Amino acid sequence: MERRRLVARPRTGPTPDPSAPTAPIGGLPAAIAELANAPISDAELVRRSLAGQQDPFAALVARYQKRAFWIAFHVVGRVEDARDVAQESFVRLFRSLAKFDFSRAFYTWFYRIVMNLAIDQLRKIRSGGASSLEDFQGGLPDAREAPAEAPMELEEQNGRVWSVLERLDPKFRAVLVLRDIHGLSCREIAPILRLTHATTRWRLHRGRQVFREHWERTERGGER
Amino acid sequence: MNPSCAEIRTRLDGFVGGELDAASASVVAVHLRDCAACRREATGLQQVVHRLLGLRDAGHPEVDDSTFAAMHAATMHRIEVEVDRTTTATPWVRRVLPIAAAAGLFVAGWWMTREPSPPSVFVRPPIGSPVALDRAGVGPATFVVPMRQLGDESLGPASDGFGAGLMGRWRLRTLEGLDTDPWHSGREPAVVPVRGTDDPRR
Repeated sequence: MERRRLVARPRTGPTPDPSAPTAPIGGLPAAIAELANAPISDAELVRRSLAGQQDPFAALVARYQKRAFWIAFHVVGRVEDARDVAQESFVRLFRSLAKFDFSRAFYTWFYRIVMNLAIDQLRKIRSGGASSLEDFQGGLPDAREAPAEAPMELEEQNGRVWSVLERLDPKFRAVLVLRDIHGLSCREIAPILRLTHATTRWRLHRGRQVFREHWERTERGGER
Repeated sequence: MNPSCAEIRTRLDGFVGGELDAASASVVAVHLRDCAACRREATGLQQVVHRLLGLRDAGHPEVDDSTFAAMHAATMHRIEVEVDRTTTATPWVRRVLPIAAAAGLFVAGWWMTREPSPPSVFVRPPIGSPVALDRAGVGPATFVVPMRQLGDESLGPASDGFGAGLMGRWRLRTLEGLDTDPWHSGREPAVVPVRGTDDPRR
């Protein structure tokens, strides 16, 4: 049997660089789309926003709203809640813009706002007894980027992944979402979640272990 | 030196996630070639990472660019509302004054309705008892604490019971030892006659 090379498999798609601007969103005013895609740093956009201009802040929203939405979605599991979390994150960002520390990375600060709101929302969902699987049940994979497996198997697998994620403690889920889904390193995650690097690595390790344990149980049919 | 399995397993998460430098990754890879147990562990971790990555690629059927365009518009509308709210905010004086007025009324009400404090010892009149007679045993007397300056013998020598020195200026007021104390003498307490009322000589 051929031995598989045990190196990290390349991701099926571009590695998300948290500091890089996202692709332009269709439907935006031309000035804002241009500003969002211009080679201007986030700190510079913050400075211009503080000076009273509104377009730079709109450009910041255009740059980060997709990532904010998807991070929130993978934490809370619902489209509506993820949308609310993303919007609320930008409102809070606007309110505290004057407190931005220009010596630090913008995305670290912003993703911290997103994660705090998303985890709070997840806890509210759980304390209400509702499941966050609702929006995902029946979801289809992106055919352009799906790995070479039968679509039905992939859909079933993704459904199982969601059900396992649902069982994880929010502190493990947060690290797994940021690290394994969104590609941030442990060094980048640590200041976002206000943890030390060692704690982040431990939570990643423990989160993956717990994920595996729950996965094996679902495979044995013990819980679903 | 071959690292132990325990040492390798501490690096497996970084190895699987591609976070190790080339030298460390090479050490782990060499160990995994020969150690089936660590290889199984690494494979399990890799499967976890791959399954979670599948969620990023899956997206959601209801979410596309138009969703984000609408979200952008809604977010900017909320920001505009926030800007309007902060620019038309009430000046702080108009917010603080009602609170200060309410606090002032509360304090005034408390001051007027509180229990009056007892008068100071220094202005309190000496305690007079209608039951004592004076030293001569004649008329009504009040308990007067004899006070004398140092060296003053007008009240009798210090052995008189008044003590000497600073403490001699005071005599502890007790009912014992007072000859004129009617409670101990058995005499009827004297009542100060008030002309026109209880005076039996009227």
